Amino acid sequence: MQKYTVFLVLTLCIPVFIICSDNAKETPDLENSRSVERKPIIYPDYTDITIPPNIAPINFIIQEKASFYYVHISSETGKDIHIFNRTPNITIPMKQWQRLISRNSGKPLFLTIFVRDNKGIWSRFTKIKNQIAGEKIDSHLVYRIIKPLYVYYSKMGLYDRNLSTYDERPFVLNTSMGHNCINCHSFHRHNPERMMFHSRAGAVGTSMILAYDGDVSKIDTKTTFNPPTAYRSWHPDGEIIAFSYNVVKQFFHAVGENRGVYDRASDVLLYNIKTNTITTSPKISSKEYMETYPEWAPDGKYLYFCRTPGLESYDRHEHPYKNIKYDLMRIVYDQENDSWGELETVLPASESGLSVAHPKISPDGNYILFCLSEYGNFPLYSAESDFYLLDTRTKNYHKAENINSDQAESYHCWSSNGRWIVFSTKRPDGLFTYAYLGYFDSDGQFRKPFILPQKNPNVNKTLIRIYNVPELVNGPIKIQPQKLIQAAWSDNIIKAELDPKVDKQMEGQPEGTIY
Amino acid sequence: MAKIKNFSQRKEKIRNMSFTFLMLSLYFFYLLLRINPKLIYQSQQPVFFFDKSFIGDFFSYPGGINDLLSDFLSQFFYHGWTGALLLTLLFWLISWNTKSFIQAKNENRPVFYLPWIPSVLLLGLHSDYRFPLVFTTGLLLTLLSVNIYIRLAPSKSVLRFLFYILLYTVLFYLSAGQALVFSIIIIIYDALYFRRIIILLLYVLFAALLPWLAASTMFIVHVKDVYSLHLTSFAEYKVNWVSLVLYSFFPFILLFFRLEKYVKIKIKNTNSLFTRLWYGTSTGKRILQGIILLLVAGMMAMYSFDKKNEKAFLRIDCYARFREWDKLLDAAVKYKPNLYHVQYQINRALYHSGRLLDEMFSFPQPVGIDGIFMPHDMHGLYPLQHSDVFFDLGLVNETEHWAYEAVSISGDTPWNLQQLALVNILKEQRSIAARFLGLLRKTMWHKSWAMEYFKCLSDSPDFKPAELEYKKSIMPESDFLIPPNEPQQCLSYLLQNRNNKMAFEYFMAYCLLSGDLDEIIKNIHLLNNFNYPQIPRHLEEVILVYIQLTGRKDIPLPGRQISPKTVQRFIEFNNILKKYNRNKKAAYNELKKYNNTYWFYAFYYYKPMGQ
Repeated sequence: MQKYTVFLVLTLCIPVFIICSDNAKETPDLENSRSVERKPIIYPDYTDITIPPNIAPINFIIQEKASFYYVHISSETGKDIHIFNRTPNITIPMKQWQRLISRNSGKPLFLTIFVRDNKGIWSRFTKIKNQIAGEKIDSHLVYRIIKPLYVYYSKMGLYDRNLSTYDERPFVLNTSMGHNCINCHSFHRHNPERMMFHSRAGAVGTSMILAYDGDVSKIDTKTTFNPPTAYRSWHPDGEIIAFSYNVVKQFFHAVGENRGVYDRASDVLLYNIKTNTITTSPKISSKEYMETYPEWAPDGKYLYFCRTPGLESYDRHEHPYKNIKYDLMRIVYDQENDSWGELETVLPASESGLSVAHPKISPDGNYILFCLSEYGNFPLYSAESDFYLLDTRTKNYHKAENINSDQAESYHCWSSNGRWIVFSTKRPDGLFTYAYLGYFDSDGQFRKPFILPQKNPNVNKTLIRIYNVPELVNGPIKIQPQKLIQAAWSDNIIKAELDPKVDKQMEGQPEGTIY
Repeated sequence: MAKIKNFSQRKEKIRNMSFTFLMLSLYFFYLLLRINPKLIYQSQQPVFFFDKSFIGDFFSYPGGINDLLSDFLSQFFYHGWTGALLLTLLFWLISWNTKSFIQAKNENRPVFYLPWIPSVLLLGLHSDYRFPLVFTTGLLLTLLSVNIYIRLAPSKSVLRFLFYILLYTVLFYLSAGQALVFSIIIIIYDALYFRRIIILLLYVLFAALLPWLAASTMFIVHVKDVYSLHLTSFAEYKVNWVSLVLYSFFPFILLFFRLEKYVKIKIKNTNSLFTRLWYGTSTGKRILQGIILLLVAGMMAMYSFDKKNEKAFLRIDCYARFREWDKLLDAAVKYKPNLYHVQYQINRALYHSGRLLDEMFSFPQPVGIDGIFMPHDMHGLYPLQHSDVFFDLGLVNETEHWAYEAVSISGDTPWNLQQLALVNILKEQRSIAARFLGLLRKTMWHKSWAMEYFKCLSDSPDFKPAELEYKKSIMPESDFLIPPNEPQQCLSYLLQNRNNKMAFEYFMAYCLLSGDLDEIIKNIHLLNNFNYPQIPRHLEEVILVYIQLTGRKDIPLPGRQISPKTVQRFIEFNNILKKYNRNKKAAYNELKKYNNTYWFYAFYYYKPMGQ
């Protein structure tokens, strides 16, 4: 009996001892701590950033050698957070964090980091001052997770991530849809109830899956005018989606970034959800030009898009990829009469030897954020691709300094209040794409962006995953994944009809070229 | 009396143990020597990381845990003996569970050999290098559940039903569709021994309903897949009739024993060979039973192992992976597999052993230029192998391209990750290289390799593998486009690098196979870049043909001469042709002794492009 009692006591005591010793609240001697006149190196770089008051804790790793770490997080009001750790991995308690930042909207947030060396001497680094913005970011982020892709693909999925926590949930997995390619997910004005994505190839075939106020349908957008549609933008009224169709081709470089993409043909068209018709105008689907990346102005009166001369205009014996440069265009659209106004060049980027991609208009309509790169329309493969901001009122544009890096900047999305953007960038390593969040202040300036917080920041360094097409939405995806699977496998495919006014037939691709 | 009984029981135990030992030994050596589990690894390249996030993903769908278990166990195929040991152990566990299942209601029945039948079938199934272990581990989980049910299920109907629900649900979560096998066995078992119709109907209903419910509410799985996953299909693999026989064995045996009771007395009265064999318990009869079983096993193995070409390919592929070029060429001579992608590896091996331009026609080149770069329609099947030749050539970007295609097609296999780690070390993308090395550090067998290559990532690395240093020196410096369908186009660009010997040899080999003699002569002066002691034999042969065809004598061969031996052979070759008035067919037998020459290839195998 005695033997068992000793065993029991030891069994209980050892874990208690371990827990106590690991979390020993060894408050540093602040008075006598050595001051280090620089900011500590932390990963991810959460210094001098502006965060939303509803973001998940920005857990980080202190990249300073020490035997013990102490982090003090504070703001103007509310209870400070104290973290003591033997390891440099700092996990901020969720509830305390949420209380602290929600109480201090519009105020600074301080991170003070202390480290203790082997001799027991504490050092204090210069305080990190971040800012908590006054405006929230939409509650959820939707993205596609893929691996670095070339021609073949395997598992991929669409996920929604709660930005206030770390909860990430798949709602479409291609493993359940006959291993198809799923892409171009998009929402009507950040509304998770109205969503579309494309399904290509695989056992379920090529179609658009449209979830609209609880109904899910499978739509074949191919007509005698166009192959299946690709890039998309919802009209603000939610009845029309502008699409481009793109006949895409890859090419491969021997040195540097090894992938390149160009369109062999593309046009812009409109799909009307209510009437299930596709229409277009020669102004946005001309034979002489390739049009792509349609984007509605928030009032729905203008359709913006990118345009470049068709491949017919290039020398057939030399690959034209370096010469393909897109301008930013816009055209007036009258939805009531379904009529088109004049075509207007918003930014003739090709004249300055550059190419526009991904124009996105801010919710107030005052700004267009877009990518400029040396050539083509796929900035993700161009390290020199940077964000530019155009003021629609003055037509002036400038480099969006604070959010650019020396690696590729690409797809982006404005928050519903226009104060935040989420964007794809390759800045950490030049290969993998990460989602970054950035604040856009009322003076029209971006602040230093930060990487999407993770519970374990190391996942950004270890997993082979790419965050593709980040889209902000104002709630979780409520539609049942099973309903989407059912629709994808359904034989009930709604075939889009071509507007009888459109007499143009599908264009052939340029023939007799070497590329 | 009791002593006699004990003695007899002990004897029985010893007999059983001896037979078990015999069977397991046969399994082990058959697996090790005939199948060679290392080739299963080569074929399937199972992925497993000791990583929380990797493991966590398997819990999100029915059958995930069985996937995880089989992925972990499949790592043991990396070495032949560990793989053989693993399969032997699994076969034994399945036999043991089968025995336990049979004995549950037939305690006095001689069950000497019957429990071995499923393992014999499994042996046949594992003779197919693509057969996933997940089916075997799934069957083991199913049998375990069956035995738990048979032994522990309460006799009260409601409790029994609840017990069934619990076991079925757990098993469905563990191994998806295989739970249906459990359900069928249990339903038949209870129908025979428990006979409560309503409960049985509920069993059937629940068995059908649970997967549907799971796929309709909880898991992101298509309803159709949820029934077949791990039962009839796994990824691309679809089971064959042997698996169906295996599944049927258990319900069949239940029915057989039950029905047999009704005819038992009648049969026992007869003195037929079947009755004596079936019910006999004497040592002689048991040995006879054992021999029959071994014969069945042998036939099963013979029938299943009809994969000579596949085995030869995997063996050659394995030698290529470990860069054992001499072994590869020996295997090519010995097994003569007639496959496109093998030809490609043979030519790689010839280059790496310094024999390409001297001996490439000592090996048949029936596929011509498709033996230099893998044919386009094979790229998707063997992306990593396709990537290897670009790595050899120093074309790092295209290596990277196909290594990522390999990741898309076969997953984060250690060899895919190794290739990507090397590519990124060469491209000096350290943080990306570190990511792949970090993953490799979490594997079972590639940890030390990863640790070694981590050393390359420091600012002043103390580990600089000579091969990587050489690769850096041959990497192209200026950009050009690589058409995926015509990878040979890269050779003329790579030739510009005076260190890239492989580009030179592959360029020449390509020209030899495509009959482009002009290009060979135009570039023959590049021999000087690579310190060849003499002109490689096949180039000598081409020069002679070229002189004969064009009459040119001004071919630049600074400091080199065509060997008199080659000249003499060329004269002989021409004489034989003359003798037969250049009739190819008629001259074939006599010219056969020159079948290791370019002349013979050009005469009998060469096909102009597009034909």
